Parts: sequence; structure tokens; C-alpha cells
Amino acid sequence: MVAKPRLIDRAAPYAAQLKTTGEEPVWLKALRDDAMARFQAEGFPTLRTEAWKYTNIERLTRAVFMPPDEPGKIAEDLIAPYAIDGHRLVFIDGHFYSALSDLGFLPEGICLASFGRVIDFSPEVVEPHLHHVGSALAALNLALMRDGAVIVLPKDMVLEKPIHLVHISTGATENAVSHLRHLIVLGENAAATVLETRIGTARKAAWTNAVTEIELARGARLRHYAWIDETASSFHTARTALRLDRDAAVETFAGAGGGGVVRNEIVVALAGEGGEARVDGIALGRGRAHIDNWTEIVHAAPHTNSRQVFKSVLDDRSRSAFQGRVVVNEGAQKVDAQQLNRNLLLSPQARADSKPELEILADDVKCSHGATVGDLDKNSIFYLRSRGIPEAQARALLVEAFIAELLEGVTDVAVRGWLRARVDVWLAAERQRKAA
Amino acid sequence: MLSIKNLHVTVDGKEILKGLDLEVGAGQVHAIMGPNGSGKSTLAYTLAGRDGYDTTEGSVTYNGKDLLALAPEERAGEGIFLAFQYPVEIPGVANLTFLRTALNALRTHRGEKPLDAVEFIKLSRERGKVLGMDDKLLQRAVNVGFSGGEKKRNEVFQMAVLDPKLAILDETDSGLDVDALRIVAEGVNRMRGPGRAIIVVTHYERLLEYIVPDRVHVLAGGRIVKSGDSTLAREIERTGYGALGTAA
Repeated sequence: MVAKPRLIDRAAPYAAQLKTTGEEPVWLKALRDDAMARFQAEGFPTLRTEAWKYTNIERLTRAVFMPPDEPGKIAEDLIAPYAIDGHRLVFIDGHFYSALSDLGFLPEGICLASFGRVIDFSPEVVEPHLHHVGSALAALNLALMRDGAVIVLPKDMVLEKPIHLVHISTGATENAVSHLRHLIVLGENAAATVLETRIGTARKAAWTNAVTEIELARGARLRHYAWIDETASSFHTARTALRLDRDAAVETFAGAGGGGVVRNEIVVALAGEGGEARVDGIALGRGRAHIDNWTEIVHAAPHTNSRQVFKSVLDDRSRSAFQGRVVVNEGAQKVDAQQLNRNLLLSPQARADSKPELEILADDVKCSHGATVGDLDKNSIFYLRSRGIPEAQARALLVEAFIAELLEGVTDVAVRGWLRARVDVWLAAERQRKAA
Repeated sequence: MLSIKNLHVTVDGKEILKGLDLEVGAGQVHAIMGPNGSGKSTLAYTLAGRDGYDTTEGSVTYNGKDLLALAPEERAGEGIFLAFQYPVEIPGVANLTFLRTALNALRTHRGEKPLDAVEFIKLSRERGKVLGMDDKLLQRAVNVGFSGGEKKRNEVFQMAVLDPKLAILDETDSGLDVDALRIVAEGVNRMRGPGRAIIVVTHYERLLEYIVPDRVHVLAGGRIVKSGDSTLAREIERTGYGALGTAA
């Protein structure tokens, strides 16, 4: 008799949270049951899990996290600095919060609503698109998720302004978890921009376990941006899973400006010829923040391109990890896949881990990867100082430039400015600390 | 303005400058020529204050101040400018943002009011015109994607905007075609004036046909081995450094 591994034990209490309310469609119940079974079988990831070798969430598994029944309270002006002109849906602790939401003017034929509402009134909208997206924590999300946004654009619809999905984790109850679930489906040649802001105010352990599932039909174009900024006591695990049909294109940017433990996963399946993915991200760490970006790009069809640039700027004892997996399937010729990871360490105690993983089963492909870890370039510092710029200012300017270079790749100008403002807040705090 | 006495400088434990003496007065243009490895760039970097260039002996006095005691940014504040042989690329910083930050740092150092964006744009357009710095070059990230000639022009453009008292041009002619050389030289010649000294460091005499120096010095083996007027440059062009008995 083999002893059950401990990690299974830690997953077990979550099975009891799977409620059968009787109001949900049968297919959804079946999906939840299946997802919970997967989570129970796999358990929480540990350092022995290859994909999690740099991030230890043992602390998370010591408690049993429960979704709060009600959204927590937030300060009235909390989300004001995050405002952007567009269509806004706000969620607090995994619940849709209509009082702060503002859908704005929407074209006819679009579906933009909370998951809970869509399940209640027209579940057939999500049924064909909701899937298990392949990790234990994403399975737990599917089993227990309550709300999120459903965005469905019909064929040829182009939405001009960004959809802004805001989530706030307040730690409303002891060991609160938010299994936030968004679904984005773009019909043929449709185009949209979605910005996800996932922030937190929790002063104690709180967990955001978010999944965004995205399907892009032939020729559809999506810009998907995320900004994560939670408190030092929080856990943030997120998976964005994309499937691109022929000639579809996605541009993603995921930034993290804070948090205790942040694990951000982006999984892209380039399923049809001509698909293109640009996958960028930045981790800004200070204190003891731990920010882990994990990506997997699967080139399942020929003539597909992917380009990834991930950067980190780390101060104090913060850590970042980047694991970038690129898979080129057999027969997927003429693939171009590039990956770059650059890490800037501002303190001797900061640490960055980087690990590319290439699995290439076709022979006529172009794949490249590179990684750098280090301090600011001495030549650049001297160049700026030789022009009269004091050293501290020169260093600050170069850190800013290191980030700004990446933001240049964000093609939505409004969101680029918005992200720039987030980065500026982080940099301003950094300058203040240096001055103190 | 600048007085260098018995300067010894080591880089990575190796002595490169071995007792260099040089006097440069306000309003003068001095050329420093010499074969590769003679210490020309070491002299330029030492004057600008780069890390890793250790003075073991001698002194550098600039307008009565001990130059070597100043940080690079303080030297710039006092009016020293080095045009780099290999200008550094700085992705993510627009050329004009960089230059405005620099100019305003210098102005602050001198106790002057910083220029606002409008004043600065006006100044930079005016100074950039003669160097053919179009708006595209001004808006792009510092030196990123610039051709060799554009980088050198950008150095001279920065000099024109920052308005130094002592400008050191380190091999500014290298990698330039004749047209670019003429443009750069014209930019430098416009800077000539009674209050300003210019040191032109070069391997070849070519640049000195366009920027005619008051004095020419030959640097070899870490010391000035010969000085003369502008005819010395032509002599070197004709006979080579070897004929001077100075081959490194």
C-alpha cells in the first residue's frame, strides 16, 4: 500500500466546496465535476512540478481558502486612478459589482455581461466555449468559479474602445479566494481590446485564482492587457488561455507591479495557419515580492509566428521567474518563434530565474531565445553622467527606459498611456525610497 | 583653461599614459594625433571621468579646479563635454528627452532656470539644423538604429545644445564619409570662439583639413612626443607616425 502524497490531502477539502445548487445547467455541473476531479487527481503544484520549479505555494496550501459569499467593502475612490475611457465591468472578491460598472455605449449584437447573468439567462452563449484549460489551479477555478465577464463579439464587429475588467481582492473573510473567470470570444474578423486590472487591498492572506479563456475565430484580432497589483500578503495565480484560428492575431501584455506571490500563466495555441501572437510582460518587484511568468506557445499550424519579450526590474529581496515554453508541432513548417527575457537587478539580494524550453518537431522553422540578468549598463550610466545628469537620476532614467522600451510594443495608445501611468507610480515610489 | 602635468593613468593595472603634459588655452583648438594604442582615448576618458581610469601620478587643472576630484556630471556642469568615439545606444529614451534632461541638469548646476519644453524644442531645432538633425532623429531613442554617421552627428548636436567650454572630440571622424565629415566639421567650427577650447583626438589628418587646429600634438607611448602647428598634421599624413620614430 503506497501512502497518499501529502499534496492530495491539501486538495481534498476543496471537494466539499463544489456546490450543486440545482439551478445550473446540467452541462455546467458536469464540467465542474470533471474539473474538480482533475484538481483532486493533480493536487496543488509543488516545487517538484517542473512548471513550478521556481515558485513555492506551500504556504497557500496550509489553509483552505473559501470564496466569500458577499463582496468586501472598498474605498469609494479606489478605482478612480485606474479609470480608462471604455466599457467597464467591476468585480469584487469574485462577485460582479454593478454599482461601479459602466458598460457605456455598446454596438448591437455584442454580448458583454457578467458570467452569472449569462448562465442565468442564456447559458447557450457560453456552453460551446467554456473548457478546462489545463492546469490544476485552472481546474479548481472552473469547478468553483462564480463570476467574471463574458465577452462575445459576432463576426466582423470591431469594438473601438477597450473593455476594462477590474477585479479587487479585499480579503473580505479569513482566507478568501476569488475564482474569477472571464471568457472572451471573437467571431471571424472581429476586433477588440480588453484590459484586465487585478488589484487588491487585503491586509491578510487572500488568494486570487483567475482564468481568462479566449477564442479567436479566423482573422480576429485581440489586444489583451493585464495589470496585477495586489498586496504583499496576497497570492495571485492566473492563467490566460488563448486559441487562435487561421490568420487570427493577439497582442498580450501582462504587467505585475506588486503582490506577495504572483504566478501569471499565458498559454497560446496557434491552431490555424497565419496565426500571430505577441506575448509581452513585465515584473516590477520590491520587498519580498515573487513574480513568476510562465508561458506556453504551441505552434500547431504552419506559418504561425510568436514573439515574446518578458522583463523584470527587481529591488530589495524580490524575485522573478520566467519560464517560456515554445512547442512547434510536427508539420508546422515556416514557423517563426522568438523569445527574450531580460532582468534588471537593482539590489544584490534580488534574484531572477529564467528558463526557456523549446520543443521543436518541425525542421523548417526559425526559433530563437535569449536571456540576460544584470545591473544597469555601466557604459550607459557614464554616457548620461558625462552629459551632466547626476548618477541617481541617470540610474532612474535607465530603469524607466528599460520599461518604456517594452511599453512601445503596446499598440493601443490609450492603454499604453494607462500602463505608463501604472509604471510611473511604481517608479515614483522607487525614487522616494532612494531619496529617503 | 586646461593644464595637464605629468599625467600617469592605468587601466586594468596597465599603465597607458606615462607622464603626459598638455596646456590648452581658451579659444584654442588642439589636435591630438597618434597611432592606435598610444593612449588617445584613455586621455579623453580620463578627462571625462570614466570609472576604471586610475590616475597614479600627475594632475589635471581645469579653470583653477582639480578636475580629477570631480564626478563626471560635475565636470559636465563645469563645461566639459566628451564626444564619444562609440556613442552609447539607450533604448527607451527619446533623444530630445535625454538632451533636455541633460541641459536642465547643467543649467541647474550653473544656477540657471531649467528650460521648458517649448524653449528647449526651439533651441534644439535651431542647433540641429546645421547638422541636418531632422525631427525623426530627434524623436527616436538615443542612438538606437542610427547609422555610424548619424551617431557622430548626434554627438556634435549634443555639443551644440549643451554649449560646453571645453569640448573633447574622440575620433569623431572615424567611420564618416566625406559629406558627413564636412557636416560634422562645420558643426565643430561653429563652436569655435574666444571662450571655448576644443581638443580634437584623431588618428588621421583628414578631419584636420576641415577643422584647422592651432596646435597639433603627437601622442605615442603614453606621452606627447612632438608638438607643432597645423603643418605637423600634414607632415604626419605624408611620412606616417613611424617616420617620427614614435610607432607604438
